[in-house]
Amino acid sequence: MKPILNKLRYAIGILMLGGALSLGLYGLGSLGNQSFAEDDDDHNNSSQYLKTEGGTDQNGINRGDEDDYDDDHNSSSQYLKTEGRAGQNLLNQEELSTNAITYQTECASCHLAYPAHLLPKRSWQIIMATLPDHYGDDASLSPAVQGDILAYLSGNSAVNNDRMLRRVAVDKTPLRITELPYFKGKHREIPERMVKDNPKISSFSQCDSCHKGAAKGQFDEDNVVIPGFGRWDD
Amino acid sequence: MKALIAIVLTLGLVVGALASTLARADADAQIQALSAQGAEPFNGAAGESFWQRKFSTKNGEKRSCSGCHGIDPTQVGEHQKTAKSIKPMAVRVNPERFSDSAKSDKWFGRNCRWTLGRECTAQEKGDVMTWLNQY
Repeated sequence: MKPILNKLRYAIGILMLGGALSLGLYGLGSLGNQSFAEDDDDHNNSSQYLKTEGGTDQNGINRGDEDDYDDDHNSSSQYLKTEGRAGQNLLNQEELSTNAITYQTECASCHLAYPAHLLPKRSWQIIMATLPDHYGDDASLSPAVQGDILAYLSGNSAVNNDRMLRRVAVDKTPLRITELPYFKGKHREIPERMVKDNPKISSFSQCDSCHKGAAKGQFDEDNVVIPGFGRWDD
Repeated sequence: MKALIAIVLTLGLVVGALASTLARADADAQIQALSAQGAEPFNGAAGESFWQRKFSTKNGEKRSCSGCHGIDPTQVGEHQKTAKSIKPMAVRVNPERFSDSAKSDKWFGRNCRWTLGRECTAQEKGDVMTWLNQY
């Protein structure tokens, strides 16, 4: 009786282990499909959203200060919303996410794939057209890949009312997120020794050094940890 | 039970060995394709000296393959401008290198223009790849 029982145990053990492993693999596999086209303008709390809108003038220049970033977005509705918001995006959802993956693979192999909604379309157009001299480095891509990435970036870029574009003149094309007045205002209180003179960071362009959720578009102040200095408490 | 562990370990070793052979074969195929472009037979030693050859930019900055990848290709490198960490280039320690010819072309293009100010010749690329593949 005992040997049969042992065999049975073995069989069950193998089955369970196999099941667990394949579940794990499946989980890993579907990680890649996660959306990172987060939209920080989207507040979960709808009354908060309305309040923000209320403080906005027609050009979105003097918007109220209700701008805490919200993080937990449902990724599929996110895509739809982003598409609707950009208006000019004719790509279907599948192409959009393929382009999003291309953006991630190509750009994040060197630096954080900066969330598209941090710059307006006109900025992305120039950036993607000048890849052979990409901030001093050569980041050339084939025309096809370049086109796919630009489609993704422009479809998800900052639009007129976005807080990133506050005090940015429409005839100006910002080429660095760190030059945006909104960005500067948000980082005004950070002393140089914490970022520029901090050997662990050295530049404000390294968003993800302190904003751990940067790749997903999460920049809320509560989750800032400055390497060598610890949690940032305003 | 012991037998089972032995079997699993052997399988692992076989798969590992196979993977590293395949990685070299990938690089070999790309070297073959380059040699068809009319250059002389490739030479690993020439590749090594090219790796360390310094080129000057217009404003006098010195650039070389080893400037960012490091003299020893089995070690992690660091980009001399951006400080980006770069995984080793030697195929033996990083079998992923040269496993995708489109990726090789892309990076040879970018890095040759940035470092030399021009495209690399098939000879230069072939020599360097031969060296990195046998290192």
